[in-house]
Amino acid sequence: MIGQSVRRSRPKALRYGWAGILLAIVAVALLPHVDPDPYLISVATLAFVYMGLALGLNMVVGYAGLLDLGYAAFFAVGAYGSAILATTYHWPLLATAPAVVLMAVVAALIVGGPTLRLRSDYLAIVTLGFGEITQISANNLQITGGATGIFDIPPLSLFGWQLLQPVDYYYVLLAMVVLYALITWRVRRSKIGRAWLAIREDEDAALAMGINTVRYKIYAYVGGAVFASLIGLVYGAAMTAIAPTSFGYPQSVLCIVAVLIGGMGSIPGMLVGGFLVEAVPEALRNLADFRLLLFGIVMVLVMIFRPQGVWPARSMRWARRLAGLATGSPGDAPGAKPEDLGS
Amino acid sequence: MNALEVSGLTVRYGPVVAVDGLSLVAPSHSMVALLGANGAGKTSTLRAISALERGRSGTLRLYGEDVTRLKAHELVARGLVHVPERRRVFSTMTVRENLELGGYRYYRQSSELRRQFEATLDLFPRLRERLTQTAGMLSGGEQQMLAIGRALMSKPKVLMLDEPSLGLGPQIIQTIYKTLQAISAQGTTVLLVEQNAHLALRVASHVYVLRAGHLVAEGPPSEFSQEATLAQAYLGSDET
Repeated sequence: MIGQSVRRSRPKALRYGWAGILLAIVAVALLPHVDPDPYLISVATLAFVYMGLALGLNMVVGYAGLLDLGYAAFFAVGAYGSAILATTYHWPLLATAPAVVLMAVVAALIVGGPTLRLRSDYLAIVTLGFGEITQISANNLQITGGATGIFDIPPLSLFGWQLLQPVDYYYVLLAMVVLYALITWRVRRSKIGRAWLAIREDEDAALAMGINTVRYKIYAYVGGAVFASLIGLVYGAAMTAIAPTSFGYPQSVLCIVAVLIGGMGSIPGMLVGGFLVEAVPEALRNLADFRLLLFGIVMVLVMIFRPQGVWPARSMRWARRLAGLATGSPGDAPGAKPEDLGS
Repeated sequence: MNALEVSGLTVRYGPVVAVDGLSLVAPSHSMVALLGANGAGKTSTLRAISALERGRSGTLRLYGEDVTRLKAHELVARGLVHVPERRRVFSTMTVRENLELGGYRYYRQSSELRRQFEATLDLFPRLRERLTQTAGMLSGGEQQMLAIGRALMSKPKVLMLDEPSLGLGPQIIQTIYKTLQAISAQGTTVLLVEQNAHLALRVASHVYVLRAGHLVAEGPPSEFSQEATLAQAYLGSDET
């Protein structure tokens, strides 16, 4: 409703916005041609992994306001699920995608189904446990290869192309991040997105408005799980080997940190947050043992000076307002006349 | 025809019984007030009726139909809407977004939504001036208007309000109560919880008095017009 009237009243500003986004995507896509440094490519690829995870977790934490402390478990479900099917059962890796989605949905329903009927606080505890159980299982089961994990994961092949080079996965993950951003952008403006924001603001009031809060909380949780699992699948293919240490509590925390630092509920914020949690520790690498300490200090400073995150959701509105003023269209600039509801 | 019929309503919080076997009736088009001191169980009663509270027993009928087992969002779809205590507007959203969420059940019917939106703004002209402001920036009275307006967006048949006068100045209370009377006159049944008994007695067509979870008195407001009767009902016969 509002989205439609916004689109009508600010065509110019929005067109420039889209042009900017397109330009940014093209620039990032050209990066490997400008500087084909393998180290740079691998850091950027991992940054895309965290961006994708942050976008997924943003639905859960940022939109629906549910604290998930075991998000890496769904990343693990995707990575291990596809790796097991591809190595032990010799499925083509791409064919494991539907199975991986199914596994993520089932896992999310088992964990979230009973928990999401309760107050949101309980979810944090249960997901924390689920994250631990998943990692400990991966560490001890035979089928997951124990502590050594699974190696010789076959490469992805898309339309007959075998993706063998690291840079191939750079592009696959970049495409996934763009797709995830588009999906969450759409969903945020849908009936479901409206319900999520109401639940995040005040669950009781949302219930009193006639919103089926349990159902929409489950949507958010399952959606986040599916996002993470597919990133897990590609991650396994890109790394060719996976081990339990990549799917523990530290990774879950990094996902939350990416969401918080970027700015809960903001899509560009997730890209910034995902980039920072990967790039800052890398940039500090020559400080050896001090780098995690410094990373911690950087995070604390961000939270002190930008408590809403680096690119908070509300500043989008502010930026749009500026864009509206700059292009001379009314937008929701101060004093603009109220738009018609539902028009 | 009774719009709302509650019988044997009991609400428990663990071992504590907040409401004990309460029965009340709100005839169609009436304005019924539920009075009582702090902690008498008024809020628990409303929350139990609208199914926001789960530890409840008893039966609930809406226009004769048994809706005891329905969930909160299903009751809203049947026309039973609750304006919770302390307003609970979505404070980071704009007034418009709050109202749109109130009309959530009409999400895909934009003409119905717009009709409700206009009708609501006609009742609360103040909100029309504030549409693009965030709800947290509104005054207490405006937030109460928004909370009521948000509930009206779903076109309730029965509107339940929990202390709409809470923390507001006399003038704004006047405005809000005038609007409530207008809403009632338009055919919406109103169930009102109030601590301010004098206020409720002026507008209600029937009054129930609750003390320590029990129904202790009921009748038309004229029966409570004398201080003594009301004090007795509130405090119990021993203390007066």
